[in-house]
Amino acid sequence: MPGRVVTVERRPRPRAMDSLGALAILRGLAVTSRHFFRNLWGFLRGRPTIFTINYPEEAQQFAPAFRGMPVLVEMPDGKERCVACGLCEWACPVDCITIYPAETHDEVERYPRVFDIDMSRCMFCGLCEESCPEEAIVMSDRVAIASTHWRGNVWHKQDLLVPVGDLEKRLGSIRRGYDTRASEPAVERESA
Amino acid sequence: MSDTDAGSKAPGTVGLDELHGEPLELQMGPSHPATHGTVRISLKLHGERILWSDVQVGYLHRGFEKECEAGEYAQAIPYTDRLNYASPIINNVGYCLAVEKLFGVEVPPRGQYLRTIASEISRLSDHFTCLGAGAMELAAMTPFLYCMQAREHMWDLHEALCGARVTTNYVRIGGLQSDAPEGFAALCREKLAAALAIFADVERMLTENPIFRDRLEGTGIASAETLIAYGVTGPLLRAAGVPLDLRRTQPYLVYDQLDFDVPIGKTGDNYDRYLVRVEEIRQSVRIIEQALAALPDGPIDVDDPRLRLPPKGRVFNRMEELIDQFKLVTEGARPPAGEVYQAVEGANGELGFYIVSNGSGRPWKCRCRSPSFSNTQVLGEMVQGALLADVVPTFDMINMIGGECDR
Amino acid sequence: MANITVDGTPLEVPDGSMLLPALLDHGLQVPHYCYHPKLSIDGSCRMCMVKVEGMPKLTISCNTPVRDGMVIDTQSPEVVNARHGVLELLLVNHPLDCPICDQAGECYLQDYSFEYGTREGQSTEPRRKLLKRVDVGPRVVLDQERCILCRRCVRFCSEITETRELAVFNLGDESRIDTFPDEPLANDYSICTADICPVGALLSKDFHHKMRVWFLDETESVCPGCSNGCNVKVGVARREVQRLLPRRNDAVNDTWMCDHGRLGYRFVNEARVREPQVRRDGAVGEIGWEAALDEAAARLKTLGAAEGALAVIVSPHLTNEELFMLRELIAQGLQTARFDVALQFGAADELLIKEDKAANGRGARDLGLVTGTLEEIAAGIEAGAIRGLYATGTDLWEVWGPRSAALLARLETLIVHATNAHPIVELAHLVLPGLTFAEKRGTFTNVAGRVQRIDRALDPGSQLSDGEIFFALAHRLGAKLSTPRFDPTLMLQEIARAVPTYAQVSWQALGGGGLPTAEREVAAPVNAEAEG
Repeated sequence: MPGRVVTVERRPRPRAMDSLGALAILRGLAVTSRHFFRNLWGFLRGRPTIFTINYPEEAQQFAPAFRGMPVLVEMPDGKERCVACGLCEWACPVDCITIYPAETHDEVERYPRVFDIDMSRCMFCGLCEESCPEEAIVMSDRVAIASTHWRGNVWHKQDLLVPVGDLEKRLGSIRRGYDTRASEPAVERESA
Repeated sequence: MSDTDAGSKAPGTVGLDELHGEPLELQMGPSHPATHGTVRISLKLHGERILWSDVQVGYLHRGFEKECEAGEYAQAIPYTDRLNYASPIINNVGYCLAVEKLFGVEVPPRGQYLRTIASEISRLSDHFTCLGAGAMELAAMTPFLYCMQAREHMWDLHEALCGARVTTNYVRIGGLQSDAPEGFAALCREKLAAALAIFADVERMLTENPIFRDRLEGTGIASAETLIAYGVTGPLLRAAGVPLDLRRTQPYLVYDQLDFDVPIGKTGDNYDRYLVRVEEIRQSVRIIEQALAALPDGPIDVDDPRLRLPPKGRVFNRMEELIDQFKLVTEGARPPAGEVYQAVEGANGELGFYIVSNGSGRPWKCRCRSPSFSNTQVLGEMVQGALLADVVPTFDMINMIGGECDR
Repeated sequence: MANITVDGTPLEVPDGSMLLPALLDHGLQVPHYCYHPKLSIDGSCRMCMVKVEGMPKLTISCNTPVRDGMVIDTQSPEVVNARHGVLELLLVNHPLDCPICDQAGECYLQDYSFEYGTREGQSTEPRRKLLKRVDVGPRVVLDQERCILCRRCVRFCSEITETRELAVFNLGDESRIDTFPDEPLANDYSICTADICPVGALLSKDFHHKMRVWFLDETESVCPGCSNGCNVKVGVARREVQRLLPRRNDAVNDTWMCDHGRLGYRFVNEARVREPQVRRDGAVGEIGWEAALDEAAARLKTLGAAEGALAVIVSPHLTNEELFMLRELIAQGLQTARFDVALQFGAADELLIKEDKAANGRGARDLGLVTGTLEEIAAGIEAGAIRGLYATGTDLWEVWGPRSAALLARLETLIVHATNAHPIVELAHLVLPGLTFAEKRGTFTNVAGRVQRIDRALDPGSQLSDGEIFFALAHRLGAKLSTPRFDPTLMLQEIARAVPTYAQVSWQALGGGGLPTAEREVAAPVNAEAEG
């Protein structure tokens, strides 16, 4: 495809303009005043046009694809969906996940006895969510996770569980990419 | 410079030896309000004139290349975000293109178009950062914040695509993290319009502003020969009149199918660099608009379990894909043994990845050819004999991004 | 030797062997399930098919004898297609268990499916439902759905242990592996069935849901459970030994090991003594290494000065290098001491389990430390003639049995090397922490006289090895030692010089499989070749 090489041109500078620096000042003031009055009008109307939101009174709106802190999906019966397969632990580039698997006597025979995430190491990259074969760990939209003690950064399984109903936005976003191959649709999910 | 020659002085002036004992040694950096990025510029001054300068980089060295060797190929991608953190997706693209070259695969057309769009959004983010921070360091606070607002629009697009504003981790070996969301094209056009509108105000305040022009015109000049000798690329080189743009000279993705101009300057001073970047902003918008219009349907990923995870829905239901998921996550993509170099046009110039594979799931070596590193070298030549105040716009227009320079 | 051509490359293979083992021994990758080098040929899985020029159909390479001049193709489209077919059919009924199956990471089905399989299965039928988590034995669990019916386990129980607990029940697509009623899979080698099972159908209960194998660092070593010296791989993660797996050594243990030895790793992780302890005035306290070594040397010197007052009980679990160092210590620093080795004997079988239960009893014998005077030493303590005992392990407690407590309480000095908490530690005046086999480098000599390497699988930190303790004590007692420090490789060189039958032994020469010493008392163990 063609495209040209263009040389950028600079406008000549009449000396008069320079010595009357006021013209430049006026030009700048015109721009900022326009912003000022537009924003003022926005406030008076009740529909602010400024970029700033009054956090924490106003909540930030995240896109559905937003990657916040990783959380564990909690099924309606209160149990985690995670079966401690260990893929997220291995996929994590910064080794922030620690899982100790154990056996259950339920229909699903494996579960994580310990599931810790060190949030001070986590970089919210989402590789854990991508590697999970059970839709058990997903990125939430939670980012306010500061702690007053370094140990408070290690989140245990109970802290990480979020009911599946509260994760619809994220699940909806990642499910878009579930079946991109143009072949027969995936059959109903079988129990693992 | 005549001031430094012992014994030679203009009539009526005082020579160096008579008045001053020694030149003033000044450290600019590594933390300095007028240098964005952590770098130390040691200067020896005679009054306001720079007699000698030394740029010392490395304050942000974090061992990117060594870190890549410690993990699998896919685990290096979040680290590439943190190279040129002002244009993260371009880094992702460069790295993934290099690994795909080792495999000998090419991403399907939709994936290529999305990568192109995302790269240009990142480029816009970088240029807004550069021009805004540049203005701020010349004490123009308002255009800085307006540029930040324009950049916010770009980051909203990043967030809509991949979920993060800066640490995007959007590109994968063999594809992309996810497809563009519903309504992305409309969102993109809306945000681009908003960004261009506010950038138009920035231009009104800066481009013809006498103070701005005084600071930038005629300062920081280095000849094209000098720049080429230092390995400088990108807007820095193009401002000196050399039409080198990898998107044209070594096309990758779908740049060879899109119509855009390559702006170059005449004198290579800081003002030319500013104008070149402004024009590149307009060209990037053109590229995005064309790519959005031409965006084809289809898959975004290569259908090859050697390097790309299978679609998740099938991992839940089908044995073959479940196995592929397990093997690929635990053993990693294993490119055939060999070496490859792949360069892309970063916001600052030629961003290259030289990857050596030994056939295993971890890179043997991942060298990052950093444009900022080569570009920053020239600072010394550019400010030799100039005024101290000229360091600021020169350094700004070089746009050294610490993460990219030091890796 | 026969000359054949494989994928265009000429190879020399042993005459009369089957094609598959010949190819595998040359390092070629030929996928297979039912074939195992130590079991009879089954020919049921059809995975190892290759194209032999001149034969109209593909043949299974496990049951095709080599012939001079054979031309074989392992990559032809026909072979590739056959592998696709076998794998697709195997996956049709295979449960989606990878996330919960321990075999992930070392599963032949995963590996071959990834390398040689089709990309998409064509069947959408529901998968067959069989029994899962079947308690087939005290140490093994069975998942019938995961089984691919290679029958390796059935052949193992039939040919190796000859206990025949497992069998294939029903026919055709109803086939499943199971045990007979009231006859659990309980032989002494039951966990070997989990080793040879290529998928996660048979699994070790001990390792069940414990750790993902891709986290394990594996080190080659030797099992310390008895004097057979089965070659093992020590799997370590999170600074603990997670499991032992047998390693192939055709001269020692083929590819097997007994359950008792395999499960005998827990002591490495549990109730360890890590710091020296001293008992003064009835209270036990930790002291630093330097102080402990000084105290030990002082006590040994005092006792050594009086003729016959000191006895050294040598532990047969120490490596040859440590035993040699101890020999030097006794010879040069404790000249008047009596010594013997605390050997323990127990039940043996015809397979691998030997009656000498120590890892290095033979090594102790070869180094001249066995004197057969253990009873006299006990009598000496009883009589009060022997006032001090230096026990370099805790084995003598088991050897002397119930009278140990009373005997040891009579001593005025009891110095003990202990790896774990143990009743003898309560009676000792000075306890020196020892290292387990997984934490040191050295050699053991098995009952047949084969010297084998053990290596460091776990980092012991700043803890001294038993050999380093002997070295430090020898120094303090004024011995003139031939090496500047305790270094297993250097010690082995000394042993090669000092013991004629060890002349050809060196760390390098031993390699992964060990070397026999010049005489062999016991013939080759284990069933020899399986019937063809």
